[in-house]
Amino acid sequence: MNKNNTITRNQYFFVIQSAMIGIGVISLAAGVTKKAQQSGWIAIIIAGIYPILCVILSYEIYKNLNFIEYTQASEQLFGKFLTKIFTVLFSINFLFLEGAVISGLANELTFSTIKFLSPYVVVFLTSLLIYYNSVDGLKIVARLSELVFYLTIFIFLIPIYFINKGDVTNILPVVNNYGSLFTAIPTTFFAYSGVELSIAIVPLITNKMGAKGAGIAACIFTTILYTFITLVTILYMGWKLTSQLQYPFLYLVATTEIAVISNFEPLFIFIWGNKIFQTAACMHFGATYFFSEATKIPYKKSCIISSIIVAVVGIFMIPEYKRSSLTDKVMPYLVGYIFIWLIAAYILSLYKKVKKNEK
Amino acid sequence: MIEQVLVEDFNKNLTLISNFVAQNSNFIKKEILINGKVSAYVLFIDGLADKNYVEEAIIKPFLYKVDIDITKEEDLYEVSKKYLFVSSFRLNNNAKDVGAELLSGKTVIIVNGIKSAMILDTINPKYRDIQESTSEKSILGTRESFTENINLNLTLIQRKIKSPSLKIERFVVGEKTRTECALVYLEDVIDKELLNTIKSRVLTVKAPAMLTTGVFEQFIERRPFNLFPQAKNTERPDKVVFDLLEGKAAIFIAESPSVLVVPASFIEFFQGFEDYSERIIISNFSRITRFLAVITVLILGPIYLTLLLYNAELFPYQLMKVIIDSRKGIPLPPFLEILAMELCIEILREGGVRLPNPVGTTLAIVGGIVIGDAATKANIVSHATLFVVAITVVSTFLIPNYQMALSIRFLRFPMLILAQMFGFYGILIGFYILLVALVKLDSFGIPYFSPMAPSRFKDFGDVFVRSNIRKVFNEPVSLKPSLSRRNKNE
Repeated sequence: MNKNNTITRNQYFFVIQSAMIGIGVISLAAGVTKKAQQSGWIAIIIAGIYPILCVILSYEIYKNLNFIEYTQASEQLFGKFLTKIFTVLFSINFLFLEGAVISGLANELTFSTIKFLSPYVVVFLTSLLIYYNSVDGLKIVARLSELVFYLTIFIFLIPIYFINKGDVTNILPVVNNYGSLFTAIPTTFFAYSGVELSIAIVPLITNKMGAKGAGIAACIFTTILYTFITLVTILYMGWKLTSQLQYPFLYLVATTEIAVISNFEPLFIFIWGNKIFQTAACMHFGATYFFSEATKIPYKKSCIISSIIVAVVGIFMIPEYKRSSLTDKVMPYLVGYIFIWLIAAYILSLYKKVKKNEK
Repeated sequence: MIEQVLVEDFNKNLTLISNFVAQNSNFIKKEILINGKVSAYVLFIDGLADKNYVEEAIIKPFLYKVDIDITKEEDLYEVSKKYLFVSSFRLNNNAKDVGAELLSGKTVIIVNGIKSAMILDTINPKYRDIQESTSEKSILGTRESFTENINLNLTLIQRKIKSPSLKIERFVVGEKTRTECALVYLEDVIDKELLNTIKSRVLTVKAPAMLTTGVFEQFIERRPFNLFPQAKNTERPDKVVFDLLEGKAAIFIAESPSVLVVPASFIEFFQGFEDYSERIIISNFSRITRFLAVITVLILGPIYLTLLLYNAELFPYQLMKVIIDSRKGIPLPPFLEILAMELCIEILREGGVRLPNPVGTTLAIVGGIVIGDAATKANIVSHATLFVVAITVVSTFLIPNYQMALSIRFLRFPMLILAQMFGFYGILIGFYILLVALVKLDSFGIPYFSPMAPSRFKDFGDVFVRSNIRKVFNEPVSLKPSLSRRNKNE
């Protein structure tokens, strides 16, 4: 086990929540309210089952296989050929997600605060930054996740300011149509993506006891944050306005006038920007890890190659409508693939374990 | 190769030892006749050794009191016991070592017919007296600060920690300077793994010369080009004591009035010693102010620049009006305006450091008030810019550690350039690069951002705010790498 790629149980919590909380903070409310209207926040809670299942299944798979590393585990379960294909698919998954995150950041920043800058420059610079962050392995990514987590708490604090200012009738009736709740779930997949990183990092945790709990806690934390933000946004602006906006939460934070910096927007973007860098760094580790495992190119070299690929993917997703339409189309397939892999791997690992015990 | 082992002939021994000592006028070689029969040389370097003490405590007894024949090494022990007024001595038969001892202020006696030299401690104790620290002032802490005398400095620590586990390991660094150094730690507190790491770096330093703790620090750190100090320099014994009690080690260098404490973490450079003496709420308020000051130094100027250049819409209307009024007729673009003022302040500061105190004060007044006033009246800089730059400069003085203050102060410039180039995004990436750089750094294997990253929740009682003093005095887990490893393997 490479020492630079090991993390502690606490760090696992920070990495998982870091990998998920990103673009979804500002855009998730728009997607869910389009389908589930004022009940969108409930759809987010229901969809929260997906990341929890992901971390539980990942943990159980590796537990059944005595926590051997990903490639070894996959080869035991699916054989060498299928492992190669799956590993490439995982790498593509993370490259796509990271590209979407980086282009999302570029689109949002050039839409709001840095209108004078080309989004391509933002994508390029962010890719460089993420390379610098993740080139030294998971340990550094995890440590930074811990630091940036404390900034996430401020993301929680901003909506608190708006609770009092909302109108409770905006979220009533609580559930209008039960069917719409389920149709809204796929729109949350992108916000929860990143949790698949647990497939790569569970064996890299040094103190495994309680690791499953840490993963579940990270998922619950993320779900609560998303739900809270969406609920406050709907409460304050109503579902109609929320569904029409590209970044409803950003619109919300920009509505209040405060001294010197006019409104919360710059402060929010500062905190959220750091969070996005961290989300991208977690995904970049995932992309590089799987890329390195698939190609057998050393991690550091793979990191350079994956950075270039991510920059290209990010550039393809400019402007925002391209990114959102692409993620809307691709995400259900990616989630489907990951879910199938997890279930298949879990059943096979259980079978192996039972067989081993019989022997 | 020069012969080093002493022989029976004392004249030959004098030649051997002289090979390792500079032949200057203050190298005293006094020939004496002991008990009227045996010839011997008393060697010392006037100034380094206390001449009066040598004459009274060594030469006089040898000339007038010793009444036994010295023919073998045991006789020297007998002489020491009966006649000499010195507390300790030892024998050595290596000419190089004896030469080194002479250069450190000891007195050497070589007796004809004996293959060893007698080395007596006669170091001249004349050093600067203990004074109050000028660079690390404290209101409630001790007034003492270290001096250039390593023995006195070690005594200051021993006076405060009366524990049998206080270990002092002496070593010599510098092929030419032969500087005496000491590694000090509390054996029962410091983590064994950490101690091994420190020893492996500190005790193996090879340098042609060793002058100050700052130089020593650069020999033992792993990332010399990193902007942040990886060891803590301090002039205050109370700070060193506090660090030793936490499980750190201190490195003392002879002729240097500061001590190096290792390992160091980022957060501790912002923790003042008074934080532990004052009331919890008051000290936490001061500490938070300090952290806010750091953020101010780093981003106030860049944010002001960004708002002026790219995001004027983010200024509230009334504030915008004030700023526009203050900028009327200013020919310089905001970036150059801020940069010029920042550079001006740096020049004044650098000038002030080198000047004697009264002149330094005059410079500060002339620089701060006269130049500032003249610059605004001449429409070179706006009042608003001057205000922002002044706040930034004053904020730098809140950082308690001088080295860290220099690093943070320097970072203003890259941040300013990033803000000019990329606006708000520039500040964002500048801040993030800083975080990554800090997280990647470690000091003697201890992560630089500990106990925040990696999180050591037990140590959170003394990070951005400090909790009850009882919890603060617990030994930090983040300084125990072997303990963390054990926990991981649970």
